[in-house]
Amino acid sequence: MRQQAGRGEVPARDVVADLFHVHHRRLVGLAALLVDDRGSAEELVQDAFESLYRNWSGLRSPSAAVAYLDRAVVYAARSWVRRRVTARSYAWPEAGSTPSAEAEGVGRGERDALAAAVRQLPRRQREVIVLRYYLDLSEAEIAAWLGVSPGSVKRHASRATESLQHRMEAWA
Amino acid sequence: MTGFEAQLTEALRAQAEGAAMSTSTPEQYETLSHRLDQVDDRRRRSRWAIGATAAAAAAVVVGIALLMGQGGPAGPPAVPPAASDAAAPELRITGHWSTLLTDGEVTGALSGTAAEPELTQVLADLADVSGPASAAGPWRLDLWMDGLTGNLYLADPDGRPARMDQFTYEVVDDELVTTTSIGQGSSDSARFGLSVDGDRMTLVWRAGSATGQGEVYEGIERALYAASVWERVS
Repeated sequence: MRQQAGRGEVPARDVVADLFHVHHRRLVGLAALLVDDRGSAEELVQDAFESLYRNWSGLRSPSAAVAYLDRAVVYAARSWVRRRVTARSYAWPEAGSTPSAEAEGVGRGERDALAAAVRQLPRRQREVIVLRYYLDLSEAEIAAWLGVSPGSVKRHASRATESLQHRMEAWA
Repeated sequence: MTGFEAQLTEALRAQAEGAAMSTSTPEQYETLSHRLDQVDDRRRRSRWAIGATAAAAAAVVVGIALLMGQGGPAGPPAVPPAASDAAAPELRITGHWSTLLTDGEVTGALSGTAAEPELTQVLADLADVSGPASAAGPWRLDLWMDGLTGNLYLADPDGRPARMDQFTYEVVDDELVTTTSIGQGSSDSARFGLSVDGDRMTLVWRAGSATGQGEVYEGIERALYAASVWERVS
């Protein structure tokens, strides 16, 4: 892994390649939580890596690249969703990606139901939930990422969890 | 973390893992590699084009000097210098933009610099306006620039979907945007210009005294639409 190498010591392309092999799957998973469609998630991740490459010289340091990619994927996913909402041509899938082997077995049904409920949340609430509980970001960090106030993040998170709990109670 | 939150985390992780396991990193890297090749090719072409243009311009200047002597014709009108304004210290008025200004309008500026060098987010505040206080504000809105796709979004400070519109415009090679790009637009009673210089973005607007906030938003949209050649200058 050449990620820690200083700029100029290792060609940007090599570092981007290393980053891709280490983080690609994780980022596709993140994108899929926000856009559902795996093909689109892959495309968004491609966009993120290309953007990283194009803007490599603007990075504070190579170590900032992972944070850049995470945020890039989230922003690209937001853009993707907005395009579809604006075009009024997008229908959220009924089912998401295939659950992992680990997810098989006891509790899978409930997990799937919960994941499906997350997909039904309004866009902003869904973003907050994914950033909070998947990326484990703080409210302040989410606010910075989304360009909203911490109070807004708190409200969205509260409404979302309340809504999810109600749906899960109904599901049970 | 409550039990429900832990359950939520587990559900999201399982969902993400499912998607992650169904993708092929080697295949996807092939695609990416091709895309990066294209980026490199465009950069090479851009550098060559810029160099050729500079050489051609130099040749023209030398040719004119030879024909006219050192006391030759006056050069083109100077570009008006960047203006400053107490209410909007970041205000920049370019020659291009200044042709749209008329008397009796209020002036404001929206400016911002990259929140982080990555330029994944640009937060900008709409500066207070000069002119009648009742005319225009102050308004505040957050604007963030997506350095990935060249999209710009508007929302109110609380993140409410003040504008769900998307401002998509063509992204060109960053080398082609050398220092400043200008976009401009207008609504019925307001005019706007957008200047981007590296990490710094300045939106200049003038609005009639009766202009409402909605019209300003509309004008900003148009200005952003018109900013068709923005890309981060590395």
